[in-house]
Amino acid sequence: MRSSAELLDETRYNVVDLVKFSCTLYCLHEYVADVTALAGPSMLPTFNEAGDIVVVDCLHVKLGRPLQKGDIVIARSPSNPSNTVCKRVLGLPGDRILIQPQYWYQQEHVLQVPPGMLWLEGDNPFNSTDSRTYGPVPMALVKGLVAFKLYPLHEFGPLPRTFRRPGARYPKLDRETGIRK
Amino acid sequence: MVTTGGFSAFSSSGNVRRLLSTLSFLPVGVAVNELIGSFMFVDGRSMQPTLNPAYSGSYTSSRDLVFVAKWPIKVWRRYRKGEVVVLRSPVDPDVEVIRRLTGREREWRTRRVGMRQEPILEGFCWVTGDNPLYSEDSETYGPVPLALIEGWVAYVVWPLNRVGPVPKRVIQAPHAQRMPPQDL
Repeated sequence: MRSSAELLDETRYNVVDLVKFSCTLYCLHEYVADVTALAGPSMLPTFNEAGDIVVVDCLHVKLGRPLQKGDIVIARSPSNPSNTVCKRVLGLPGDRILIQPQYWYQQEHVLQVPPGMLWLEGDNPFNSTDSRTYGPVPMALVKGLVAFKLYPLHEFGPLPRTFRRPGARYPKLDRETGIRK
Repeated sequence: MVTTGGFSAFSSSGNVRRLLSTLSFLPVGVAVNELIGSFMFVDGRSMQPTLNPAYSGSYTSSRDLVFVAKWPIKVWRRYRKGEVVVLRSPVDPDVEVIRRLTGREREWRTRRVGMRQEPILEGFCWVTGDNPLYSEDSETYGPVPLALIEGWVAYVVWPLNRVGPVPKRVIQAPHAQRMPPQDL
Protein backbone atom coordinates (compact mmCIF):
# COMPACT_ATOMS: atom_id res chain seq x y z
CA MET A 1 0.00 0.00 0.00
CA ARG A 2 1.43 3.31 -1.07
CA SER A 3 1.21 6.35 1.11
CA SER A 4 -1.15 9.16 0.20
CA ALA A 5 1.75 11.54 -0.28
CA GLU A 6 3.23 9.23 -2.89
CA LEU A 7 -0.09 8.95 -4.70
CA LEU A 8 -0.53 12.71 -4.67
CA ASP A 9 2.96 13.15 -6.09
CA GLU A 10 2.25 10.68 -8.87
CA THR A 11 -1.04 12.36 -9.75
CA ARG A 12 0.72 15.72 -9.87
CA TYR A 13 3.30 14.42 -12.34
CA ASN A 14 0.56 12.86 -14.47
CA VAL A 15 -1.39 16.12 -14.60
CA VAL A 16 1.73 18.10 -15.53
CA ASP A 17 2.51 15.61 -18.29
CA LEU A 18 -1.05 15.80 -19.58
CA VAL A 19 -0.93 19.59 -19.69
CA LYS A 20 2.42 19.51 -21.47
CA PHE A 21 1.12 16.97 -23.97
CA SER A 22 -2.03 18.88 -24.80
CA CYS A 23 -0.16 22.16 -25.15
CA THR A 24 2.37 20.52 -27.48
CA LEU A 25 -0.51 19.18 -29.54
CA TYR A 26 -2.08 22.65 -29.67
CA CYS A 27 1.19 24.21 -30.82
CA LEU A 28 1.69 21.53 -33.48
CA HIS A 29 -1.82 22.19 -34.79
CA GLU A 30 -1.36 25.95 -34.77
CA TYR A 31 2.19 26.25 -36.03
CA VAL A 32 3.30 23.15 -37.90
CA ALA A 33 0.61 21.04 -39.54
CA ASP A 34 -2.94 19.96 -38.99
CA VAL A 35 -5.06 17.10 -40.27
CA THR A 36 -8.67 18.13 -40.80
CA ALA A 37 -11.84 16.85 -42.39
CA LEU A 38 -13.51 19.14 -44.88
CA ALA A 39 -17.23 19.45 -45.37
CA GLY A 40 -19.41 21.56 -47.58
CA PRO A 41 -20.25 22.01 -51.25
CA SER A 42 -18.22 25.16 -51.91
CA MET A 43 -15.07 23.43 -53.24
CA LEU A 44 -16.95 20.73 -55.09
CA PRO A 45 -14.90 19.58 -58.04
CA THR A 46 -11.74 19.63 -55.93
CA PHE A 47 -13.12 18.34 -52.66
CA ASN A 48 -16.13 16.14 -52.14
CA GLU A 49 -19.11 17.40 -50.24
CA ALA A 50 -18.15 15.41 -47.15
CA GLY A 51 -15.54 12.94 -46.06
CA ASP A 52 -12.33 14.50 -47.33
CA ILE A 53 -9.36 14.45 -44.98
CA VAL A 54 -6.47 16.77 -45.79
CA VAL A 55 -3.14 17.86 -44.34
CA VAL A 56 -2.94 21.60 -43.69
CA ASP A 57 0.51 23.18 -43.81
CA CYS A 58 0.43 25.92 -41.15
CA LEU A 59 4.20 26.44 -41.06
CA HIS A 60 4.13 28.01 -44.53
CA VAL A 61 1.87 30.81 -43.28
CA LYS A 62 3.52 31.19 -39.87
CA LEU A 63 6.95 31.61 -41.47
CA GLY A 64 5.52 34.43 -43.56
CA ARG A 65 6.09 32.78 -46.91
CA PRO A 66 3.98 34.40 -49.63
CA LEU A 67 0.84 32.74 -50.91
CA GLN A 68 0.34 32.30 -54.62
CA LYS A 69 -2.65 32.50 -56.86
CA GLY A 70 -4.31 29.10 -57.01
CA ASP A 71 -3.34 28.01 -53.50
CA ILE A 72 -6.08 26.38 -51.48
CA VAL A 73 -6.14 27.84 -47.98
CA ILE A 74 -7.94 27.29 -44.71
CA ALA A 75 -9.03 30.61 -43.22
CA ARG A 76 -11.12 31.71 -40.31
CA SER A 77 -14.50 32.70 -41.68
CA PRO A 78 -15.08 36.46 -41.87
CA SER A 79 -18.80 35.92 -41.47
CA ASN A 80 -18.58 33.73 -38.37
CA PRO A 81 -15.53 33.95 -36.08
CA SER A 82 -15.87 30.41 -34.78
CA ASN A 83 -15.94 28.78 -38.22
CA THR A 84 -13.20 28.07 -40.71
CA VAL A 85 -13.56 28.01 -44.46
CA CYS A 86 -11.60 26.34 -47.23
CA LYS A 87 -11.22 28.45 -50.37
CA ARG A 88 -8.91 29.05 -53.29
CA VAL A 89 -6.79 32.21 -53.53
CA LEU A 90 -7.86 33.95 -56.72
CA GLY A 91 -6.36 37.38 -56.09
CA LEU A 92 -3.31 38.81 -54.38
CA PRO A 93 -2.92 42.44 -53.19
CA GLY A 94 -3.00 44.77 -56.17
CA ASP A 95 -4.76 42.34 -58.49
CA ARG A 96 -7.87 43.51 -60.25
CA ILE A 97 -10.75 41.09 -60.00
CA LEU A 98 -13.67 40.83 -62.35
CA ILE A 99 -16.56 40.00 -60.07
CA GLN A 100 -19.21 37.83 -61.63
CA PRO A 101 -22.75 38.59 -60.49
CA GLN A 102 -24.14 36.15 -57.93
CA TYR A 103 -27.75 37.37 -57.96
CA TRP A 104 -29.92 38.94 -60.62
CA TYR A 105 -29.68 42.45 -59.19
CA GLN A 106 -25.87 42.46 -59.15
CA GLN A 107 -23.70 43.67 -61.97
CA GLU A 108 -20.34 42.60 -63.25
CA HIS A 109 -17.71 44.98 -61.88
CA VAL A 110 -13.97 45.25 -61.32
CA LEU A 111 -12.39 45.59 -57.86
CA GLN A 112 -8.76 45.99 -56.89
CA VAL A 113 -7.63 43.86 -53.94
CA PRO A 114 -6.32 46.20 -51.20
CA PRO A 115 -2.87 45.65 -49.62
CA GLY A 116 -2.71 42.92 -46.99
CA MET A 117 -5.83 41.19 -48.27
CA LEU A 118 -6.68 38.23 -50.48
CA TRP A 119 -9.52 37.41 -52.79
CA LEU A 120 -10.83 33.95 -51.89
CA GLU A 121 -13.39 32.02 -53.88
CA GLY A 122 -14.69 28.49 -53.77
CA ASP A 123 -14.29 26.27 -56.78
CA ASN A 124 -18.04 25.82 -56.98
CA PRO A 125 -19.29 29.32 -57.84
CA PHE A 126 -22.94 28.33 -57.63
CA ASN A 127 -22.88 27.30 -53.97
CA SER A 128 -20.11 29.15 -52.22
CA THR A 129 -20.10 31.99 -49.71
CA ASP A 130 -16.81 33.70 -50.38
CA SER A 131 -15.20 37.03 -51.19
CA ARG A 132 -18.04 37.82 -53.56
CA THR A 133 -20.24 38.05 -50.46
CA TYR A 134 -17.94 39.43 -47.77
CA GLY A 135 -15.28 41.16 -49.84
CA PRO A 136 -11.51 40.74 -49.69
CA VAL A 137 -10.26 38.71 -46.72
CA PRO A 138 -7.37 39.93 -44.50
CA MET A 139 -4.26 37.76 -44.75
CA ALA A 140 -4.21 37.48 -40.97
CA LEU A 141 -7.24 35.20 -41.14
CA VAL A 142 -5.43 32.56 -43.18
CA LYS A 143 -4.48 29.63 -40.98
CA GLY A 144 -2.78 27.33 -43.41
CA LEU A 145 -2.26 25.96 -46.85
CA VAL A 146 -4.06 22.78 -47.86
CA ALA A 147 -1.14 20.70 -49.05
CA PHE A 148 -2.11 17.06 -49.29
CA LYS A 149 -5.21 14.95 -49.56
CA LEU A 150 -5.25 11.80 -47.44
CA TYR A 151 -8.74 10.47 -47.92
CA PRO A 152 -10.54 9.18 -50.02
CA LEU A 153 -7.68 6.89 -50.90
CA HIS A 154 -8.18 6.98 -54.67
CA GLU A 155 -7.61 10.76 -54.55
CA PHE A 156 -4.58 10.45 -52.24
CA GLY A 157 -1.80 12.84 -53.19
CA PRO A 158 -0.66 16.46 -53.32
CA LEU A 159 -3.18 19.02 -54.55
CA PRO A 160 -2.44 20.65 -57.91
CA ARG A 161 -2.34 24.43 -58.03
CA THR A 162 -4.65 24.99 -60.94
CA PHE A 163 -5.66 28.59 -61.18
CA ARG A 164 -8.58 27.99 -63.50
CA ARG A 165 -11.44 26.43 -61.65
CA PRO A 166 -11.57 22.79 -62.69
CA GLY A 167 -14.89 21.90 -64.21
CA ALA A 168 -16.23 25.43 -64.42
CA ARG A 169 -17.14 26.59 -67.89
CA TYR A 170 -17.29 30.17 -68.98
CA PRO A 171 -19.28 30.67 -72.18
CA LYS A 172 -17.79 33.25 -74.50
CA LEU A 173 -20.17 36.18 -74.78
CA ASP A 174 -20.25 38.97 -77.27
CA ARG A 175 -19.43 42.25 -75.50
CA GLU A 176 -22.05 44.30 -77.34
CA THR A 177 -24.99 41.98 -77.49
CA GLY A 178 -24.35 39.56 -74.65
CA ILE A 179 -25.17 36.68 -76.94
CA ARG A 180 -23.21 33.46 -76.71
CA LYS A 181 -20.65 33.31 -79.52
CA MET B 1 25.32 -0.97 -15.14
CA VAL B 2 24.29 -1.75 -18.67
CA THR B 3 25.74 0.51 -21.32
CA THR B 4 24.87 0.50 -24.96
CA GLY B 5 27.57 1.31 -27.44
CA GLY B 6 25.65 4.05 -29.27
CA PHE B 7 25.07 7.66 -28.45
CA SER B 8 24.02 8.32 -24.93
CA ALA B 9 24.56 12.04 -24.87
CA PHE B 10 21.04 12.84 -23.73
CA SER B 11 20.88 10.42 -20.87
CA SER B 12 24.41 10.88 -19.62
CA SER B 13 24.56 14.64 -19.36
CA GLY B 14 22.49 16.17 -16.62
CA ASN B 15 22.66 19.61 -18.19
CA VAL B 16 21.16 18.47 -21.48
CA ARG B 17 18.41 16.65 -19.67
CA ARG B 18 17.64 19.72 -17.63
CA LEU B 19 17.56 21.82 -20.79
CA LEU B 20 15.20 19.38 -22.46
CA SER B 21 12.85 19.28 -19.52
CA THR B 22 12.82 23.09 -19.49
CA LEU B 23 12.15 23.17 -23.23
CA SER B 24 9.22 20.82 -22.81
CA PHE B 25 7.44 23.66 -21.00
CA LEU B 26 7.79 25.98 -24.01
CA PRO B 27 4.53 24.83 -25.66
CA VAL B 28 2.76 25.39 -22.35
CA GLY B 29 3.93 28.98 -22.37
CA VAL B 30 2.84 29.48 -25.97
CA ALA B 31 -0.57 27.98 -25.32
CA VAL B 32 -1.09 30.08 -22.18
CA ASN B 33 -0.11 33.22 -24.11
CA GLU B 34 -2.51 32.42 -26.92
CA LEU B 35 -5.47 30.98 -25.07
CA ILE B 36 -5.50 32.44 -21.56
CA GLY B 37 -3.82 35.80 -21.56
CA SER B 38 -0.63 37.74 -22.03
CA PHE B 39 1.05 41.00 -21.11
CA MET B 40 1.78 43.53 -23.84
CA PHE B 41 3.36 46.94 -24.10
CA VAL B 42 1.22 49.52 -25.85
CA ASP B 43 2.94 51.42 -28.62
CA GLY B 44 1.71 54.51 -30.40
CA ARG B 45 -0.85 57.12 -29.54
CA SER B 46 -4.00 55.89 -31.24
CA MET B 47 -5.79 55.09 -27.96
CA GLN B 48 -4.49 58.13 -26.21
CA PRO B 49 -6.87 59.32 -23.57
CA THR B 50 -7.33 55.73 -22.43
CA LEU B 51 -3.93 54.10 -22.98
CA ASN B 52 -0.47 55.66 -23.25
CA PRO B 53 -1.65 59.14 -22.13
CA ALA B 54 1.93 60.34 -21.66
CA TYR B 55 3.23 58.91 -24.91
CA SER B 56 4.82 61.42 -27.21
CA GLY B 57 6.75 59.22 -29.59
CA SER B 58 10.19 59.64 -28.05
CA TYR B 59 12.11 56.71 -26.64
CA THR B 60 11.98 58.06 -23.12
CA SER B 61 8.23 58.52 -23.01
CA SER B 62 6.44 55.97 -20.88
CA ARG B 63 4.51 53.10 -22.34
CA ASP B 64 1.65 51.23 -20.75
CA LEU B 65 1.88 47.56 -19.94
CA VAL B 66 -1.52 45.93 -20.25
CA PHE B 67 -2.93 42.51 -19.52
CA VAL B 68 -4.71 41.10 -22.56
CA ALA B 69 -7.27 38.43 -21.73
CA LYS B 70 -7.57 35.92 -24.59
CA TRP B 71 -9.91 33.39 -22.97
CA PRO B 72 -13.13 35.46 -23.27
CA ILE B 73 -12.49 36.08 -26.98
CA LYS B 74 -11.01 32.79 -28.15
CA VAL B 75 -13.14 30.43 -26.11
CA TRP B 76 -16.32 32.26 -25.18
CA ARG B 77 -16.43 34.47 -28.32
CA ARG B 78 -17.56 37.38 -26.19
CA TYR B 79 -17.37 40.53 -28.30
CA ARG B 80 -18.88 43.47 -26.41
CA LYS B 81 -19.44 46.89 -27.81
CA GLY B 82 -17.38 49.54 -26.04
CA GLU B 83 -14.53 47.30 -24.96
CA VAL B 84 -10.91 47.77 -25.93
CA VAL B 85 -9.59 44.86 -27.99
CA VAL B 86 -6.37 43.69 -29.61
CA LEU B 87 -6.71 42.69 -33.24
CA ARG B 88 -4.47 41.81 -36.15
CA SER B 89 -4.39 44.68 -38.58
CA PRO B 90 -6.50 43.92 -41.65
CA VAL B 91 -3.97 45.69 -43.84
CA ASP B 92 -0.81 44.06 -42.42
CA PRO B 93 -0.92 40.51 -40.99
CA ASP B 94 2.26 41.04 -38.95
CA VAL B 95 0.96 43.97 -36.92
CA GLU B 96 -1.31 43.87 -33.88
CA VAL B 97 -3.31 46.98 -33.08
CA ILE B 98 -5.39 48.08 -30.09
CA ARG B 99 -8.74 49.65 -30.87
CA ARG B 100 -12.13 50.15 -29.27
CA LEU B 101 -14.94 48.00 -30.61
CA THR B 102 -17.60 50.59 -31.36
CA GLY B 103 -20.01 48.82 -33.65
CA ARG B 104 -21.43 45.36 -34.13
CA GLU B 105 -23.12 43.70 -37.04
CA ARG B 106 -26.46 44.93 -38.38
CA GLU B 107 -25.66 48.59 -37.94
CA TRP B 108 -25.03 51.29 -40.47
CA ARG B 109 -22.04 53.58 -40.34
CA THR B 110 -20.84 56.63 -42.21
CA ARG B 111 -17.16 57.38 -42.26
CA ARG B 112 -15.87 60.79 -41.24
CA VAL B 113 -14.92 61.49 -44.81
CA GLY B 114 -17.73 60.25 -46.94
CA MET B 115 -21.37 60.46 -47.62
CA ARG B 116 -22.63 56.94 -48.07
CA GLN B 117 -23.81 54.76 -45.27
CA GLU B 118 -22.30 51.32 -45.26
CA PRO B 119 -23.72 48.27 -43.49
CA ILE B 120 -21.69 46.23 -41.03
CA LEU B 121 -22.19 42.72 -42.38
CA GLU B 122 -22.79 39.58 -40.34
CA GLY B 123 -19.56 38.65 -38.54
CA PHE B 124 -17.94 42.07 -38.93
CA CYS B 125 -17.47 44.92 -36.49
CA TRP B 126 -16.46 48.55 -36.40
CA VAL B 127 -13.26 49.47 -34.54
CA THR B 128 -12.00 52.98 -33.84
CA GLY B 129 -9.10 54.45 -31.94
CA ASP B 130 -9.86 56.81 -29.08
CA ASN B 131 -7.56 59.37 -30.66
CA PRO B 132 -9.08 59.92 -34.10
CA LEU B 133 -6.21 62.09 -35.30
CA TYR B 134 -3.57 59.41 -34.84
CA SER B 135 -5.35 56.19 -35.57
CA GLU B 136 -5.87 54.12 -38.66
CA ASP B 137 -9.12 52.34 -38.00
CA SER B 138 -12.44 51.41 -39.54
CA GLU B 139 -12.77 55.01 -40.72
CA THR B 140 -9.89 54.17 -43.05
CA TYR B 141 -10.33 50.52 -43.91
CA GLY B 142 -13.99 49.89 -43.19
CA PRO B 143 -15.58 47.12 -41.14
CA VAL B 144 -13.21 44.36 -39.98
CA PRO B 145 -14.02 40.68 -39.38
CA LEU B 146 -14.59 39.69 -35.75
CA ALA B 147 -12.24 36.76 -36.37
CA LEU B 148 -9.31 39.20 -36.41
CA ILE B 149 -9.85 40.06 -32.75
CA GLU B 150 -7.39 38.24 -30.52
CA GLY B 151 -7.92 39.52 -27.04
CA TRP B 152 -9.63 41.89 -24.66
CA VAL B 153 -7.47 44.59 -23.07
CA ALA B 154 -8.58 44.05 -19.49
CA TYR B 155 -6.15 45.79 -17.15
CA VAL B 156 -3.42 48.38 -17.13
CA VAL B 157 -0.55 46.89 -15.16
CA TRP B 158 2.07 49.61 -15.55
CA PRO B 159 2.60 52.51 -14.69
CA LEU B 160 1.61 51.97 -11.09
CA ASN B 161 -0.42 55.16 -10.73
CA ARG B 162 -2.84 54.00 -13.41
CA VAL B 163 -3.20 50.35 -12.44
CA GLY B 164 -6.76 49.21 -12.92
CA PRO B 165 -9.33 47.95 -15.38
CA VAL B 166 -9.54 49.61 -18.80
CA PRO B 167 -12.90 51.38 -18.85
CA LYS B 168 -15.60 50.21 -21.22
CA ARG B 169 -17.08 53.12 -23.08
CA VAL B 170 -19.92 52.95 -25.53
CA ILE B 171 -19.47 55.77 -28.00
CA GLN B 172 -22.50 56.87 -29.91
CA ALA B 173 -21.11 57.46 -33.35
CA PRO B 174 -22.41 60.69 -34.85
CA HIS B 175 -24.18 59.05 -37.72
CA ALA B 176 -24.78 55.62 -36.26
CA GLN B 177 -28.30 54.42 -36.74
CA ARG B 178 -29.74 51.25 -35.40
CA MET B 179 -31.90 49.70 -38.03
CA PRO B 180 -31.99 46.36 -39.72
CA PRO B 181 -30.14 46.34 -43.03
CA GLN B 182 -32.68 45.89 -45.78
CA ASP B 183 -30.61 44.23 -48.43
CA LEU B 184 -27.05 43.11 -47.79
